[in-house]
Amino acid sequence: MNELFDVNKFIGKSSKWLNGNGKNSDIIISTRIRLARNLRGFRFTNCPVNKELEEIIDSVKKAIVNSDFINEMEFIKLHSISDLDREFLVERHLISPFCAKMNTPRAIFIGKGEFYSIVINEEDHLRIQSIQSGLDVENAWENIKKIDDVLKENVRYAYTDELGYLTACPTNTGTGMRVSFFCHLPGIVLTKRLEEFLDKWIPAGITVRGFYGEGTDAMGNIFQVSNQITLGISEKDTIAKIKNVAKRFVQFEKESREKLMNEDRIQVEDKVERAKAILQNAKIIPSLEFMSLLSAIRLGVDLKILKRIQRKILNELMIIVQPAHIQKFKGKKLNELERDILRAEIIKSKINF
Amino acid sequence: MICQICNKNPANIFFTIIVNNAKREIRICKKCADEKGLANPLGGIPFIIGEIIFGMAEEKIKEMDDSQVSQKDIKCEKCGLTYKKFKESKLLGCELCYETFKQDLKVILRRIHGNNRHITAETKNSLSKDKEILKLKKELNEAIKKEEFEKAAHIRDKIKFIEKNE
Repeated sequence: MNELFDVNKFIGKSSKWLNGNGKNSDIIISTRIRLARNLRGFRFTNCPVNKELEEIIDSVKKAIVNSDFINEMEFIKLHSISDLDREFLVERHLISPFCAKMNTPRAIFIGKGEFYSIVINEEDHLRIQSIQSGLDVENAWENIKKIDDVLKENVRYAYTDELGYLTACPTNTGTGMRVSFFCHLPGIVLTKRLEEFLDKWIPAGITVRGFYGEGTDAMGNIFQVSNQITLGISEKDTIAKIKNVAKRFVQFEKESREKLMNEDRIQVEDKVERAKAILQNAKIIPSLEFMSLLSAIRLGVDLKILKRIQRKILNELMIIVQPAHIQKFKGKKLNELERDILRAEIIKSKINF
Repeated sequence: MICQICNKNPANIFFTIIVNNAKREIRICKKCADEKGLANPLGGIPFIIGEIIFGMAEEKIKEMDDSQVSQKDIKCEKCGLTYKKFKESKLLGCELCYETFKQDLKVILRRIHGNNRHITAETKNSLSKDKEILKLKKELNEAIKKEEFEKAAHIRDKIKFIEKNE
């Protein structure tokens, strides 16, 4: 474990879970599980006592140092790095925006390839996260369980038989587990069948988050689906439920894409080619516009309209052209216009049309 | 249209979540979206979703009979969290809060999860109750010997909690 770990080491490296390889990765970008845990006897971070928070960081550190994970983990004290560095970690999905803004002692352990991480003293004392490429709940669960088991042997969790894991927010009480996946649904959105699909096929206890409405594909047609209930349902059943829902999304999106290609092929090709032309030639690309263009490019790759582009590059771009990443890459603070110009350059250098 | 979070700036991001088949439309401005972590479609599950789910549970609670939910001004002995502050922040202050606000939490948890008892496939738990209490009692004696009374009180709280809850 490197005590003096520097966020800069991440620049230029991309998270391994973006490799675009997993099952159904044409539709499901990634699968994530996170567990919320608190340590017995310490106040939650909502009523913080700095001495206790330091103690929590130390005891988790001790647990990790004594485990097999130690050789592949990086440790960062989040309160001693800059705002920009924390923003950078937010963009990499390692910490939440909420965590970036707190000012109490907190830290993160980051596993090899960023497949898993442990955030200490966020909303709960521990937030353990595991991410996989594509639809892969099994491996995400297997990985996170190993970490949870190691910690369980070394620290005492706040847990009762009646209520399970006691979390700061009652929405996480019980298993403390949130299973989610990100999916790219241009077919369902473009055929305007999202409402119909959600009404008919999504069971209660599932939360779907997405941006749509006026500017339809403004946010890249990306949706996040997760379990809502953590109490009264076992970990195993939650996983099965999310897997089942994911399969419905995949099937309906596939059908929608087929429908699109059968009925509106020329419009789809036009959309893809226009996006390509802009990305190849534009000098200024704002981040929202990029998400929308990227969605069209991704659809073009999936439908084999664009044959030379690798999905992995598109996944990586989603992360590395975000504001903090661009600034870390350049090594200095940049204003919005400067970032939009640099974004256009990075995209051109990365995508091989 | 005005942002639903700050009630000031014009809303230009439309955001929809579906919770329990109920659709919630949220219209917010770019600034609030950035602050709440909603601007990045790939970001983590934002805190606001927790707030919305909680809010929906609360709406239902309000419809219920007053006798079912206590309105008393209770306060957690360990962390000092008041019921009012819990309602505002939607966050509890410590594990003992689960004991302090037990009556209300029963209702709130049922409203959020449709259930208020934990189910797990796992049986493996860290230390057994007796072993853990024995260990803590040893720590307690030592703390008293060293006249570390603050620490001793802390350990005594832990023992009480375990004896009561497991």
